[in-house]
Amino acid sequence: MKRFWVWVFLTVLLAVHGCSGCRKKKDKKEAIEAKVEIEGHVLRGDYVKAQKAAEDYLKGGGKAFQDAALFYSAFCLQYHSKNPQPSQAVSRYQELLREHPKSILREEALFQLGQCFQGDPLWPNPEHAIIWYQQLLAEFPDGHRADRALYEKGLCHESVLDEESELKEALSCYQKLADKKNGEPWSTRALYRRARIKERMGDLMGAARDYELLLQMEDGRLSAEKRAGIQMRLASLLTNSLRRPGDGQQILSALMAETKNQDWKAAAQQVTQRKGASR
Amino acid sequence: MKAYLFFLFSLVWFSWTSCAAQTVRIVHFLSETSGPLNGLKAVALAYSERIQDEEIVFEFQGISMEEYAKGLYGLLVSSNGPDMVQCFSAHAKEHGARLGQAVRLTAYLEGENKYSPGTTWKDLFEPSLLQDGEDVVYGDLWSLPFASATERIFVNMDLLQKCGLSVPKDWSSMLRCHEVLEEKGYIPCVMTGVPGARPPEWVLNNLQSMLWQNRVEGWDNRNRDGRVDRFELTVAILEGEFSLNDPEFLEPLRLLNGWAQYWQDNFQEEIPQTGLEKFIQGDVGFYLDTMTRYREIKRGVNDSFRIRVMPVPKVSRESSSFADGGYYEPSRGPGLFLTVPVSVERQRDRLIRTMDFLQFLTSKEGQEIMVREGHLLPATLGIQLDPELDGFRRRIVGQHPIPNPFILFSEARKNWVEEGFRDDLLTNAWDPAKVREKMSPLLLEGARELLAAEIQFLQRQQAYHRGAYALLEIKSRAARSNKDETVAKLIEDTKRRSWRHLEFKHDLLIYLRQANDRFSKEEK
Repeated sequence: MKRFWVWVFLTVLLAVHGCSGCRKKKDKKEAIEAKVEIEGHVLRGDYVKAQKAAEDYLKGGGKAFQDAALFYSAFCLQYHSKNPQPSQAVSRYQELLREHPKSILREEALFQLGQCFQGDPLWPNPEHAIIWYQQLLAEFPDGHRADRALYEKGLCHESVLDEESELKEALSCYQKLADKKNGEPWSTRALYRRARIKERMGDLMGAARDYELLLQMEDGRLSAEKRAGIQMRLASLLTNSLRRPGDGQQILSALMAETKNQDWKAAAQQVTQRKGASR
Repeated sequence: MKAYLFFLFSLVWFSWTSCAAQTVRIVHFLSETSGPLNGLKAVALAYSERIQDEEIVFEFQGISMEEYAKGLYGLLVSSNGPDMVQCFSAHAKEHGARLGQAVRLTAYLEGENKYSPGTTWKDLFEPSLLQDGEDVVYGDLWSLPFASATERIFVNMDLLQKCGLSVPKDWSSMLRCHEVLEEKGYIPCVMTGVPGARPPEWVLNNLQSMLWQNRVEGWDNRNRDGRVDRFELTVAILEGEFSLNDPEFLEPLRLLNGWAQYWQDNFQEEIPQTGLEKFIQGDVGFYLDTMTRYREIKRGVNDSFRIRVMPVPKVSRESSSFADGGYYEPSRGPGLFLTVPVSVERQRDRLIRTMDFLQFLTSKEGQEIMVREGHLLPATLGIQLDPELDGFRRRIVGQHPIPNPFILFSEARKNWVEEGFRDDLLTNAWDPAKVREKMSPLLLEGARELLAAEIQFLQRQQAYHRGAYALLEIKSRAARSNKDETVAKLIEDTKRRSWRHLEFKHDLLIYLRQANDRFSKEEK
């Protein structure tokens, strides 16, 4: 009799295990199907269909792909071209962080939360964005989004108007990035922003030095277009503010010789001609 | 029996479909009597004659601007919709790049145009027109230009000759012509009354561009590109750099007022055809209209007198002490574009036929027909213009840079028309004090409105660029995981371009928000 109950117990155990295995298998299959569908819509830029597919999956109660479905749903709400809804996206991202604290999408969700506040087309809120970037940097200091988050945090500090302390914060973000050895492309971009902030704060000599540093980079880190823009800016700074028209002219001559863009060439030529005429 | 019937049915169906003429449908919002439609029809006819192996029938379906604006989505996605739709390039970008409803034409343009062999299709076009159609974020084209037009002054040559006058070379000689015509009992000048056309505004734009070229460097202080952008002028007004106390800034208004004294009495009434009918009768010296109506004007005149075309003439020192020798004719209108609905891409035959027609339309042969029959400027390079169209060419004289058209007055148009200021200015004698008193608050109000609108616009643009960048990141990851290095590299290039826009707009937004902040505080 005892042996009979042992057999019964083993059979029930096997059946339960089999059922749960089936369910898992079914869930996994559904997850793969949902993933392919959602990512396909996202890649085609069809956020309406992608968001609907993600929501359908979430309503179906699937678990295997839940964090990614939450992420894509929020992503589509955030970047919908006609009707972006960043505030709804925020609640979706927060749900993802709350429900799946160990998800591999956590870092990306923290970053996109910052972007939601920073890039709101109606009411951008850089102060809130800074909080999320800060959290990302604290949790993932070496993550794949760390450099970009530091850069965006700098941009947010810049966007808070009329606060010198904010500009100093931005400067320190860019300083950290510019000093990084493997921080490309954000290091170069940070150096440019550092120059712009110095210009804004009145440190014109410092700004000119940073622009010169950028122009000395000869390993293709600066695109031709960007390089031309910096040359034009530096020439104007040297000529108009630092009273070094000779150096400014030298930069303009270099620009005219280097650039293939006819607009830049014409602009540099006109400035040169006007300077000549005014002299 | 069933099999036999099926075979018979298939045979009939196959022979019917292979023999039936192919229909190519083009939806447009061009005027039925205007040049562009005639040009397009002439090109279509030449194309049908050229394609020998099959019969092609072109259908042109005209819709109003209102229908176009409301129904573009339906036209682009409907499975039995048209093969081509005339559109504004901005709409094509929106419906193509952001909503995926138009065919991406970039890849087709990289190939050869079979009707102009030996050249890449893209290289045939006038670059500035192609640039108008290009989406800056993705660098893709969603519509193709097929012609462009301008606004001009049409001159009754016979009347001028009768009065002992010749075609005026500059502003002062034009006014002299008007004076003589009036003395001899003729109407010196009339203009189009077609709704939407606004001759006083485009003349003012011309005058501003001519007289303020020496100011470009001072105002071009934010986006240093040799041109004055709208936001730069807006901030200049709010900061008091542009003030109507400076006589230089009143000068274009003074010149316009001087000319307006010779205009017909009811020039501001928007009654279509009135101006044109008067001109056709032959008692009018000058007529202001757009080039797209050239054919209509020619037909109306019907060789009863000779006509010539001229742009707004150059302002010399004789007319204004502020004339600095520069000349820019900014009234070159935008290009006319065609876009291909995404529904066409789903049917290979239709797509091939449409692309083939577009190649023909933009080939040397097609463009020559377009210019000849449509009396328009070509969209491609190297097309010889008829001597009678030579007056439509854009002319740049002098060494000054080309500023962006100063559209402030156009933007503030609503205010200056509603407040009756425009009519006061154009119908009364010149009174600078009165103009200054009336115009200054309008200018400030307009600038404030513009600044707020510009900030909102930039915020939306920023959001759009951020979205585009995020999508590019996803695409780039997908391409790398598929080990498709070529695509990944292309995406990286686009990402870099997209980032440049983001960065530029970030700086601009801070600058404008600071300006707005400052002016709001001052106001309080």
